[in-house]
Amino acid sequence: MASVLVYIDRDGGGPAEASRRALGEARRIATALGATVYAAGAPADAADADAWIASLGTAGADKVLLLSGVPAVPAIWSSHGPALAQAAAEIEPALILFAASADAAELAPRLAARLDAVFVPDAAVGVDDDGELCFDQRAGLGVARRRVPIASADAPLVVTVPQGRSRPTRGDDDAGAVFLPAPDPEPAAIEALDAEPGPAGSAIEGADVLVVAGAGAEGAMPQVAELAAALGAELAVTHTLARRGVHPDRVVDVSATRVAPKLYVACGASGSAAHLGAIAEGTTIVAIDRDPEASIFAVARYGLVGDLATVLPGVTTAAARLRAPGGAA
Amino acid sequence: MIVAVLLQPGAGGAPLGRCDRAALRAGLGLRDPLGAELVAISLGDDTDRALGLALRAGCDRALAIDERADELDFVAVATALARACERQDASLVLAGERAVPTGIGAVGAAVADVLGRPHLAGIVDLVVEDDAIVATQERAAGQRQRYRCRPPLVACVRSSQAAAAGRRAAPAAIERLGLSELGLEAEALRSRAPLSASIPARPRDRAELCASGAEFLARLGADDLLGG
Repeated sequence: MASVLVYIDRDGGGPAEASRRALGEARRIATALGATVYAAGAPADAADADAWIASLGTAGADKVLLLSGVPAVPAIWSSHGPALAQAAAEIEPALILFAASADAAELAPRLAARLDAVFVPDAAVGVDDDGELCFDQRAGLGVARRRVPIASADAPLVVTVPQGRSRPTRGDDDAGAVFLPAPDPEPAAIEALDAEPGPAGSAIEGADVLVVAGAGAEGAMPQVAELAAALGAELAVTHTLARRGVHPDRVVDVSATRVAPKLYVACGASGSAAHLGAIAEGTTIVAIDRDPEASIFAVARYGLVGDLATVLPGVTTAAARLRAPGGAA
Repeated sequence: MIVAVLLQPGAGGAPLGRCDRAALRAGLGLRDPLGAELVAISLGDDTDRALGLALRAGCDRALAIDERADELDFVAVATALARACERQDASLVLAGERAVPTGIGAVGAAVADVLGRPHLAGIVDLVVEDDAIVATQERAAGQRQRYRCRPPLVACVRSSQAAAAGRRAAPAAIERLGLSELGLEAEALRSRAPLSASIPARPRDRAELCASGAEFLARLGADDLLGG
């Protein structure tokens, strides 16, 4: 593998932290496979270029591609895609990595189509049974896992990695800078208007531990909330519960918020397709449900069967004891 | 104006997935303000439920492309759908952002690339204002960014604020097309298998059931899943 390209989201004036973490994953992959890491992004202001180069160099980039002709607007394909496609055509990477983000949702799939690449969303870097680096992807609603080898791939890979699945790295080297000329624009009658803050869904988006209530937990919400507090977790709900007016701004669903926590505690959530499709690979799912045949147990690592209002207090007590300083079960 | 809504059959017995339902609702909500004709398009060997639902919900026409979707990668699927959109002369194309269980959230954007049109992803609302379409996109931390757009355009819909449509009493029949009628060679499209075919997924083991809450938490602690 000759080169890895990482797209860098912009957050305020600098590179987004999620992209720096994706760059860390790219650095580890590239070191293992002997590849060069290119970080491609567009500072809002040319005066920020030096700071970007320094930041991305210490985050693992060998070279920083500064995209030209990209306006200081939210990234959509029309504004950012042509420059990114030009960069990819220039260096012909075998792997293109995005932090899973709104920018990635806009740019990654179309870039994959443009390059005739394999698209692997919401993946986690892993090692397969042969010891080869791969991307792990949830399949069949999470009841299965697909391992996509990196080095031996037949076609370029375009991959998005959730923030919870990436780790930053620290490099000391100065990255070289490459300035690409502005590409021919792709005409588009799209004008950015105003933006407004969204609901509190952002709190669950980056959570390390999530306790999620489904329809089966509707009568036990106080107990579910107590468990979340005892675990230091964010509380979320399924689409079904949200439609009943319970925490409608904290929904885990492909039509709402996609999540990548370390631990996902499903309480009375049977496991619908749209719900499970919103959970990234690498998440450990555990479930508490009254029905031993609930489909959630097919994707969970551990389970507890029982009436939620009855069993949750005991779970909460055990959680509080375990998480107390010097605590043990 | 022709508005095309691209639908993929749903999972687990549902005719449509969540995002595809949202795309359908968005299309139905735009039809009258735009004075448009709404055409639902789907590819696969089990599209009748999805297209039947679309017709009963109020789509003017429905088109089924008779080809096995599970034998095509996302670019091949997008190519066929794009050709169907061109054949229908659709200036606005709506697609569900991500289908389940097999969706990777790429077909809508790939359709836009084949058609050479602009696209927007993560769309949570579409309305008509002053002869233009105003699209609301969900961005980081739930922020909502609005855009003013004019077709041609492909919108990848995540959710929709449009009201659910009523039922149409006498829906049209589903029209059917093969790849050859779209000017496409089946063998050429099938030349690259989807990831699901080339790299089979391996099933996980079913959950270990614990006897008590204490055991349940002890397992989580032993696996280092709990913070201190």
